Amino acid sequence: MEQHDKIMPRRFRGGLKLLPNKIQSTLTPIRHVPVPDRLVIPLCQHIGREAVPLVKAGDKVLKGQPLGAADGDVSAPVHAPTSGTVESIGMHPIPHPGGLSALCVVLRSDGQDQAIDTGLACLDYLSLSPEEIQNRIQRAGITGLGGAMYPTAAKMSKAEDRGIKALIVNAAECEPIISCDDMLMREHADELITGIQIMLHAMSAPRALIGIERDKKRAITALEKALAKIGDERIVLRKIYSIYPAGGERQLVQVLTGQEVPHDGFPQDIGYLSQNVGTALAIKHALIDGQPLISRITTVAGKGVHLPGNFEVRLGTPIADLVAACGGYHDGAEAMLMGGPMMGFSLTDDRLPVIKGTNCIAVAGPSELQQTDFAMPCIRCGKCAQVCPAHLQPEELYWQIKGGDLDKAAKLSVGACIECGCCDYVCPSHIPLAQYFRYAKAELSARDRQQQKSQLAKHRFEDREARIRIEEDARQARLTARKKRLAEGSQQERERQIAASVQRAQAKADTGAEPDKDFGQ
Amino acid sequence: MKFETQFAPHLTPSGSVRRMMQRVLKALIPAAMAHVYFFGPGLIFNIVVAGGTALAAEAAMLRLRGLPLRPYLLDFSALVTAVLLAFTLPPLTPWWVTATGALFAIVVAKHLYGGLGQNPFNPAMTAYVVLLVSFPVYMTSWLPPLNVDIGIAHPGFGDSLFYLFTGHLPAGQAMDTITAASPLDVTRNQLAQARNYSEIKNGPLFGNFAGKGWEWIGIYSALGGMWLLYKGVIRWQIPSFMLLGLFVTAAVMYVLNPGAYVPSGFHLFAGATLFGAFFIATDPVTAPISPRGQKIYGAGIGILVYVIRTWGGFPDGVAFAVLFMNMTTPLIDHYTRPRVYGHD
Repeated sequence: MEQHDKIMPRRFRGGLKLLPNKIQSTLTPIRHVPVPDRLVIPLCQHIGREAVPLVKAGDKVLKGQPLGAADGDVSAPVHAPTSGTVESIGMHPIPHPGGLSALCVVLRSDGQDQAIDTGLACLDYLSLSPEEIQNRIQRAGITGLGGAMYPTAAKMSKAEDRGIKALIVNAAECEPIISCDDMLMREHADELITGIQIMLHAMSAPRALIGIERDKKRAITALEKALAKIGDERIVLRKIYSIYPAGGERQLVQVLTGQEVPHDGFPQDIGYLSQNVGTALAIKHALIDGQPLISRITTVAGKGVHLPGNFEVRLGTPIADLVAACGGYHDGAEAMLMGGPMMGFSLTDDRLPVIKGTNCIAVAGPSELQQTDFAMPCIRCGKCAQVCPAHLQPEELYWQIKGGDLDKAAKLSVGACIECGCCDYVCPSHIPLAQYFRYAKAELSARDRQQQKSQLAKHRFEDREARIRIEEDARQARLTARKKRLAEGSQQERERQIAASVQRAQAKADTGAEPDKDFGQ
Repeated sequence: MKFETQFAPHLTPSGSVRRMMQRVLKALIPAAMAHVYFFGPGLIFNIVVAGGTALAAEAAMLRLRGLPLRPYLLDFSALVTAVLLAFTLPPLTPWWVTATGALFAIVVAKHLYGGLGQNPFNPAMTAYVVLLVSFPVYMTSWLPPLNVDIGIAHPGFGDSLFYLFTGHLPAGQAMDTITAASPLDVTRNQLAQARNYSEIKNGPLFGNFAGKGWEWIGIYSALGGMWLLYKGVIRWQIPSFMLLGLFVTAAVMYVLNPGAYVPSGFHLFAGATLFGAFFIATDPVTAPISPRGQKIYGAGIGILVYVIRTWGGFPDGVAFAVLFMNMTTPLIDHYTRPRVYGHD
C-alpha cells in the first residue's frame, strides 16, 4: 500500500476541544422548506468571477434552467431553483462578512416547480470521460459546499493535471452547532458514496479517504453500511479525533496522510484533493439525477429559534423562511450568524437569501455569544500558540500588527493563519486576535495587489520608454541616412557639375583655338 | 428582523486574566499554610502589608497613566505580585521594608515598564533583590522553623506585630537570639569548613530532604503547582526543566566530589527551589513563549540556581537566576520560534 497508510498521526498539533452542541439540531430528520414565492439568487455564490446573466426581467424560466453563465474558468453558473418569472435583475444585499450588495436575479415562483431537462444526467457515468464529467460538474454550478464555495470543477481540473494520490472527503464537520453534513451522511449515505465514486472517476484518482470525527456515531454507522453494500474498496472510512478545526483542509490532510500542505500551495500540490460531503452529494444529484445545484442542506441552530434542525432549502430562499420553518424566533434572539460560532460571520438582516455556501444559520439566544469585552493587555501566557493549528505564535504576530509592522507580521507567516479563531477563544485577555490577523492578511494582500499594479505600471512605463527610444533611434537613423544620402548626393552633384564644366571647357577648347591661353596671359 | 454584528469567533472566551490570577492565589494556599505553621503568623502580616501597598500603588499608577481602575485592579495581578513577594520575606519584617518592596515591584518594575504584560523582569523578584541589597540585615534574619529545638523561642503573635510596626523586639529580646541561619547558609558555611554533607545534615535544622519546614513549604508549593498545571494556568516545561537543570548539575558535581558538594535531592527541596519552579519561573510575562524556549529557560534557571547557591554569596539563588534568565527571554524567543505549518 501507499506511504500514507504507515504514517498515521491521528491528530494534529494545536486545536481545541469544544462542546459540539449538535444534538439539538440532529433530533429530527432533514425537513423541507417550502419553495417561497419570491427568491433572490445572487449571480456570485462562489469564489471567482460573477456569473453573466442569461435572462432578463419578464423571462419565464424553468427549474434548473441557467440564470447566469460562468465567466471564465474560476466561476460557476447559477440556476433557477424553481420555475417562475424573472421579476428583475439588480443589486441586493447578499450574505457577506462585509455586508455587500451584489447583482441578483429576483425570481417570482409560479408554484409549478416545473423542471427543465438539463442534460446533465448520465446513468452510466463510467462511459463519460473524466473531462466530460468535470464539464458537467461545472455546468451544474457545483461549488465547495463546506462553506468555501470554490468552483469544484476548477479545483478538479487543476488537481488532475498533477496526478492525484487520493481524494480526501471532508466529513469532519468540526465547527460547533453545524450538523448538516452529519445529517446528510445519516440520510443520504448511499448517494454520497455514489458521488465519491463519480469524483474518483472524474479525477482518475485511485482511492478516497473519508475523514470523519469519531463522535458522529450514527453517520459512521450509516456510511459503513453503505460502503458494505456498495463494496468499493477504493473508499476508506477514517475516524479522527473530534478536535476543532479537524475539518480545516490543511489539518484534515495532515491527519489523514501525515503530510503538510506547503504554505504557498494547495493539497493538490502534494497529490491530494479535498471535497466536502455536500459537494459529493451535489455531484451525484447532477450526474445521476440531472439536477444542477439549486438546493442544499442547511442547519438552523441556536437558542434563538424554537425548533433547531436541518433543512433542505432552495438557494435564494430568504433566511426568514428558514427560521419560520423552525417555528420562528425565541424572544431573546440576539444575533444571527452564517456558519458556526468559530468562523461564521454576523448577518444583519433575515431577508438575506440562502446561498451555496450557507451551511448553517445560527440564531443566538441571550448571552449565548461573546459580549463585546474590554481587552486586557497580552500577558504572554502562550495559550494562543498552544492551540494554533498553523503553529504560529499569535501573541508575537499581535504585537507586530498592533505596532503597525505588517512586514514583520508577513515575515512571521501571518499568511499561514487559517482564521480558525482558536487563539482568540483561549486568550485570557480577550484580545480580538482573529480580527487582527484578518486585518493584517487583508491589508497585506491589498498591498500586494497595489504592488503588482505599480509593478505593472512601472513595466508599462518602461516599455513605453523603450518604445519611444526605439522609435527615436529609428528616426535618428532615418535622418542620418537621409543626411548622408543628401551629403552623398551633393558630392555627386558637384562632381557631376565639375565634370560638366570640364566637358564644356573641353568642348570650347576643341572648337576655339587656345582661347584659354589668351585669358591666361 | 435586524441584528447587530460582531466579529468571529463568537463563543464566549474560555478564561480570563482574572481567573488565572485567582487560581495562582488559590494554589498558594497550601504553601502559605505550611509557611504559617512552621514560621508563625509573619507571612500573614507580610501579605497584608504588601497586598495593601501593592493595590494602592497599582491604583495610583493606573490613575496617573489614565487607565481604567476597575478591570486592572480586579485582574488580581498586583495582588499576586504582592503575595509572591511576601513569601520571600522573613516572617519578621518591619512594615516599611515590606511596603518599600511592594511599592518598588508595582511602580518601578511593573508600571514604569508599561504595566501588565510589559515588564521584562519579574516584579516580585526585582523587589526582593532590591530589598536584599537595601536591607540585608532584615532580609536575612530568618526565624528557625517551629518544633526545632535549638533553644530559641518563637516570638508570639503580639511580639511579632510589635516588631512589624517598630522594627524592634520588646525589651529584653534581641534579634540574634531568636533568629538562626537558614539551612542553605549553614550548609555553605560548613562545607567551607571542610565538613561533608552527611555530617551537616545531622544538624537540628535539617529534616528529611532538606531544611526542616522549608522542605514542606516546597512540597506544598509543588502540590499547588500541580493543580495549576492541571488547570492549564502554567505549563510543565519551565518547572520540569528548572528542576532537571538543578538536579543534573548538582548530581554531576556531587559525583565528581561528594566531599565538597551537596547531593541533588537536597537542592530540590531546599530554599525556594520548588516554590520558584512553580510560581516564580512560570510567570508568563517574563518567560519565553515556545515550549522549546521554555525548556531552555527553565534549564538555565536550574543551572544558575546551583551556581549561585554553591559559589555565590547570597542566601538563595532563585531570585537572581530568574532575573538573569529574564534577560535572555527575548533572545530565546527569537531563536526558538516553532516551525510554521507548511513551511520548511
